[in-house]
Amino acid sequence: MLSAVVLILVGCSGGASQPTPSDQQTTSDDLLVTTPEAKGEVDSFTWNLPFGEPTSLDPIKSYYYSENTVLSNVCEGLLRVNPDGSYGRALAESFSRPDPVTWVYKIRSGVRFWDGSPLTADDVVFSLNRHKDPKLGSYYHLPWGSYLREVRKTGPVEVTVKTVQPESVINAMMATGLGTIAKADHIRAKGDAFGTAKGGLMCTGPFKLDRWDSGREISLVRNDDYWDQDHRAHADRVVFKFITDAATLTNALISGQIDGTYEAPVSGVDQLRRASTGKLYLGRSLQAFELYPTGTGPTGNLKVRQAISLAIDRQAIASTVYSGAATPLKSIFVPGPFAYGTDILQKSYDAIPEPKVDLDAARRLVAEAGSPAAPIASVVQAGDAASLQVMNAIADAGRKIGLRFTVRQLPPPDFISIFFDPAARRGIDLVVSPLYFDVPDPLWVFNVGLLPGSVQNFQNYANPRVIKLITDALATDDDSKRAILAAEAMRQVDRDLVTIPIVAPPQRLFMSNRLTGAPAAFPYLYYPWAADIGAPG
Amino acid sequence: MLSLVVGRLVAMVSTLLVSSFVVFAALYVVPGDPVTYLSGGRAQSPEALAAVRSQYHLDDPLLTRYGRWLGGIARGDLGTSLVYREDVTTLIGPRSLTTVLLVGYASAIIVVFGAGLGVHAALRGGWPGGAISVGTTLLLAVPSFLTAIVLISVFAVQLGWFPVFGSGSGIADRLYHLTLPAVALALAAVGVVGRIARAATGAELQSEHVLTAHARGIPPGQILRRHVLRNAAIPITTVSGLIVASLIAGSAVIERAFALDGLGSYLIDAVSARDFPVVQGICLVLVAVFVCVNTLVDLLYGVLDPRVARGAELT
Repeated sequence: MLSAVVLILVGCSGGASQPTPSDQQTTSDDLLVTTPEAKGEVDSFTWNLPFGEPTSLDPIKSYYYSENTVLSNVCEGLLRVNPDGSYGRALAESFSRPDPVTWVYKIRSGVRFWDGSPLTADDVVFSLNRHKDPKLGSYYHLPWGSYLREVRKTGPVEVTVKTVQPESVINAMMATGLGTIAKADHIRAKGDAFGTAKGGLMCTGPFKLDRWDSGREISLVRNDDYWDQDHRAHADRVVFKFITDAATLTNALISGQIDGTYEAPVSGVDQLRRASTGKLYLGRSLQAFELYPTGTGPTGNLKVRQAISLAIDRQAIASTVYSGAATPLKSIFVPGPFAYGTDILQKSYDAIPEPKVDLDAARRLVAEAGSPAAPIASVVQAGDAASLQVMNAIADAGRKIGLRFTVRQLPPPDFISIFFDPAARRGIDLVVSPLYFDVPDPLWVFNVGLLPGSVQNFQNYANPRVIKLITDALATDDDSKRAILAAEAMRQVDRDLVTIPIVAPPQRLFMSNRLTGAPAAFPYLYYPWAADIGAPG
Repeated sequence: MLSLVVGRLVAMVSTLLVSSFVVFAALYVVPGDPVTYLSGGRAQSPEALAAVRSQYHLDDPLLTRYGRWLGGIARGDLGTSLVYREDVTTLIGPRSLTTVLLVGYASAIIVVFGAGLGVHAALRGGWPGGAISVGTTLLLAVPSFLTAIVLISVFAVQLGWFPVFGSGSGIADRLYHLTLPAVALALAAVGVVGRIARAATGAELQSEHVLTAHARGIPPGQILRRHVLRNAAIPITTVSGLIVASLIAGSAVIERAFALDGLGSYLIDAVSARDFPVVQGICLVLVAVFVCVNTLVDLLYGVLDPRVARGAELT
């Protein structure tokens, strides 16, 4: 009887584990860029980092959700990415590109670090060069840091960056950890402790890093001397918690113990939609869920990849795994937002036919490919419930067309190393994972994974037409021309089905009713989003 | 009694030494190069990897590294976390406090309610005894994670009596935050100890010396304290000792569910991230606590049962 009571209680509380097909769908037109602007101040708010405690806040080691979500509010890059996908000028007042391999940045004057000392061109040069030095192990070193041929101070407030080959994307990457500037003397003084709980930071952002209680919380306080009055913080204090468990986080949000989070748990979407303490906002995102063939096994064959793509019911995955909060993805490249050529790129994406499930055509393709009997060895990241559910849907589709899948779950460090270490990919045919585009620039993906020698080019994809289009695009200054070249290359990559796109999940922001102003769209990783949050009235 | 204490202490130290070597060496037997994990799996240049190898002395022979590690422990230095690049002692110190409070709180609940209910059931008999018996059996069957979910849903979210997560700050606040987690952790163990207590007490009540004492007119209160409970205490202590020691590791699930910064969940995270110095540090702490708790239980036997102390003196 006791167990019956227990079961009823669990049922009534709506245990957040079973995804149910939802009638709510979203199209890109429904997705938000921002939430209503904050009008008033708040003393403090508590935010969550669903991917856990940051391992470091040193810009050279900050290249994932938790790290960049905090870092973007305390330290700044030469540029920043605005929620609508445009680039904003941050520590660089302006930039120019006198020739295809040179970028010149005019450093903003009058900016001070938290300790009152002025930001100088020396700090900029020092910070950028840390990504160039292979011994420091910057996560941005391959490829971006290695593209830097020379970084030099060329005037009292001017820094010139020379690249190894023509590179237009590296300018956009100055909004990320690559271009994040900290005080050189502080970095030198702290040594290895820089960016840790003990060594702290010395930066210029709208918040100062106040305290880092290892395992418990990170707290920021407002920088009252922040140079950008348009982005002055509305809150005195921000406290970050590190809840990783989806059910615990959902309960903490519903009960109001945590005021908000990005990447709200997929399994909690239905409960969060019904919550009375706050609201779930869906925003435009640079995230995509895709299948990455490594080149080995049956998925090395284009026809097999085409067959898989025809057999997957993307609409069903969006409904069940994401409770309707996702759209089927037609291309390897997300439909936007982009910083340039938006019309051209959107038109190109719209012209792609909608994906339809066609099991007969899929079976025919499998037969043409020789009906491979070997199983497709797939991996997902352990602990990622959504990935596992998508994998199950794919294995199910495979069964219908005569393809067999095996699945292994890998813990995070093993899983991440697959993307960087060819040895780690041995024995794996397919990687099932969400990914995010750092910057709203379609050429970013080519640098990272679609050109010969790219660090994530698993299959050694080398299409001469694509290479020519992209080389030209990276060298040109004309935004429209670049967009046209990029669009052509993107569609070729789609036809070659280098990866198999599944769905594009929107950004899931949950925010307490006592707050407003947080950007709803994805670029929060490289934008001082916390400064925008305040009281509604 | 003295020889018992000395004997147990010697055993404790030698167990700790052997376990520490196993804890240390085991991680280097694991397949895979530690250096791969030092970079978080990211692409690293050969220079960066070489710098890391020398920094962590990964090319030295095993015994040299073990010696250096032991020397560090004697100085209170458990090494540096590969993930957070902070002292392991700084990282596991505050987390140890949370775990100690959680396990202590749960142990108090287990001993008081488990032993209390069990003894009560045996003394009462009849249907109250039977009801307690059924109750404790049901508690045995409920997994701690399910208990945690139910407690959070009912007492934290719906009623709002307790916080959903976190370990709090300041003793009173910490105990408030740890109430639901301690109950979730303790519930199944209350079932186990309750049943053992009931059986042990029941057996004692039926024993010859107790029946003889009744027959000789010794007051029931005195019989209960000196003859029944004191003898029943031995199996109850054994089980409680084992359970408390296992709670330390078993707290990981509860720590996850309530987002507590404890040693159990940190151990899992550290293993997952291949943060070797932290894994070694936590394992060492857990082994030390386990060995100490068991030694304490052994010494408690010496107090409860004079035959044990006398037996030690003879050997």
